[in-house]
Amino acid sequence: MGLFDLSRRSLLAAVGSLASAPRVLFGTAHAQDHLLEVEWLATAGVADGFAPVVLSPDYGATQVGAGMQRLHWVEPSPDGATAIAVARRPGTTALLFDRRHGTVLATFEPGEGRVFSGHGRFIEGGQRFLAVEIEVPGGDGVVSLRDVEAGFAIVAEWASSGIGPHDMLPSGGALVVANGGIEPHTPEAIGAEVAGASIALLDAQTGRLRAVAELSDDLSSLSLRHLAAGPTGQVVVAAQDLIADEIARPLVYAVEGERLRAFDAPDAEWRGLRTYVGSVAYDRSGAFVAAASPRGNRVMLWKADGRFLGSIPLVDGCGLAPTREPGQFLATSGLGEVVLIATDGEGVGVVARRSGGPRFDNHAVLAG
Amino acid sequence: MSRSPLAMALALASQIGQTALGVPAVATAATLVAQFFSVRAHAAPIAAPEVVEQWLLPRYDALHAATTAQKDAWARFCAGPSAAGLAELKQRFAATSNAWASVEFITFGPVTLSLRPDRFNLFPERRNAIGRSLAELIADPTDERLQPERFGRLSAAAQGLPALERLLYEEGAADALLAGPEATRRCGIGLAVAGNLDTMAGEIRQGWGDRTSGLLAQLLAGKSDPVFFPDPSALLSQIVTDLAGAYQRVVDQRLLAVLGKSPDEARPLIADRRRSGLSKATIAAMITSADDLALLLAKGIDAKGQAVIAAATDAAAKAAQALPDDIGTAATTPQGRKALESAAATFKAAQAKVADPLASGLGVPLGFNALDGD
Repeated sequence: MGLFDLSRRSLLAAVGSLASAPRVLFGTAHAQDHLLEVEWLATAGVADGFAPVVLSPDYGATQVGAGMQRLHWVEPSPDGATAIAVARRPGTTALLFDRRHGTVLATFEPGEGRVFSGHGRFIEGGQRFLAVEIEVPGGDGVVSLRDVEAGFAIVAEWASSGIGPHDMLPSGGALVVANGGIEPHTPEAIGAEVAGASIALLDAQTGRLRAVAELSDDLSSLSLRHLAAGPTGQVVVAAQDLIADEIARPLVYAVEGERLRAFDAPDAEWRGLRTYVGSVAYDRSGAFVAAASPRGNRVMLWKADGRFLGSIPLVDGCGLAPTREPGQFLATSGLGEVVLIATDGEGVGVVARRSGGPRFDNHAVLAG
Repeated sequence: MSRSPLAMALALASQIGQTALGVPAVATAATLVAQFFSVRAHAAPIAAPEVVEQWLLPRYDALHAATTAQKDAWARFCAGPSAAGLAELKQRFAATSNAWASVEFITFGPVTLSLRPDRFNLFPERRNAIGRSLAELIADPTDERLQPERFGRLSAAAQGLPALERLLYEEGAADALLAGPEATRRCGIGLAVAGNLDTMAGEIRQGWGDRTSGLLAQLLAGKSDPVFFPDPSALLSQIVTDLAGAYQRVVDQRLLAVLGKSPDEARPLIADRRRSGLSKATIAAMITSADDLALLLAKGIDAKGQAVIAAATDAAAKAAQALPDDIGTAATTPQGRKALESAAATFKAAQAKVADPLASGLGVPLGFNALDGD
């Protein structure tokens, strides 16, 4: 029986053993008195720490529990019932929550001597969960394959084939891993000019390394960090630059096997990102790609083939997700804003806006 | 910013609460105004427009006055180079540099547009970007790129304070300004940089306006702005976040980066303003300005929180004054490292001791800031 047809009751039984895990940082959350309307999921800073949040179709945010570790990505389960929020480095907690009741169900930890990178994905219809983990010290990357029904027990560990992996997603029978190398804006990055980043393509069944894609030497200062996949399997990766030397390096690339093809944009637009892209997403149709920079206070849009469409300002904007409509993106900001961005393939604009939410963190996702 | 007519129309639609592309706009101006005043009503007697008016704009006024005086000094010097004129240029540079340090950590308002922070002061510099840009500009025999309309579009590395610092303080630079084959060219570049800085400082200040026009008037009226203040009620949160970022900038960029993890890994050459000897002054200017902002904001919270902030800012101010004059050299000696590490710990503590009571006391969320990675 897979998670896809697993009842909530049996899922609770399966993960029940985790309730007494040694580091349960998320206190017992009170169930909502009504089922939540779930359109998007995100993570945020809240009054009492950090929490996953559920966003309704009208962009209202409801926090789920709260803990002291800063969360990053939220991975919705394929059955629509739960989701997993993963702590970012140096965090050591991932938490499973009921997205309609707004309750934390369980937490789990990385392997011994490792931290979570902030990202993970369900595979096999939700039966397995892949977490990206980083060894401390050293930074070697590990992808842990976990059995959901067995309380997220690790059943296999695969080398990510690089240092400092950050994001990972399955595509076309392979696992695409963004090995970021040295992470910008950390003590390790001080003085560093070569990130050592790569895209590793792992066999989704065995974890065996199939291929590695790297940037050319003139782009070696880029840390490849965030991935997004379109509906037909195309993959893009977004980068952050270790150095600010006024060279307008492209920060978004299409992953084409062992080749990384730069998206197009005027130099001034690349510079406007101020060396930092915090998230990247495809729209529902797969025809458009968006990338957000909270340092540059802007969201940039392209056609999926890499042709630049335009950008809109969004102060401290970072979270990006598709909506159910083609040509639309939801964007969230660290100042509690939610905006709806639309493109018709010619222009780009903001078509709706709601303020007053929690301080949204890096990522948002369409609940599916 | 690339915005097509369609984009502008869509953005406008969202601002006035109309429907575009079949999507309902959810936040009307009325809602925004209500949120703005609700914060004023029950959170604190201090509000974002007051902070802008009382703390930020006087500093932008000072910055603009400094850049104008600097530009005028360069014009006089270029008309008749002299040792006295050179001394004045250095004095004007220090004034402008310190004035910028006092607002460098502000990440809202007109300063955010047109890459102004990078163009004003590209920092931290990497791969000798400034040296390379400057050398290339000095070697260019034509004046075309020094014209104001062109100069502002050159590499940010050549446009701002770090380029000016090299023109004034690099080894042999002072002599090369006073006489020799490059003197006229170097003077022309200095004048172009000084003019560019004055233009940017003027644009930033002009954008804010006054109580009757510009962004300040808009804020006082509780009106949102699609670019700068989509949600005016979020501005106080951003001010507190930027304040926390000020202490973090000093610790991460001005101290830890130079210290490295060990004496062997110290990097004295990346000390900010090492050429002009203003490393300590830059830190002191930023800490003083941040402390002033913290104390102003603290008026909006209870006495207990005020006491915590007063103690933290006092400690930070003393730590700044006690810093070694030469940060870079200090990072290479055991005694110097101890002093820098102690100061860094004090500033780091001040960040938390200032930001936490303000965030809870003012009822504003402490946002993530531009120094965050991941």
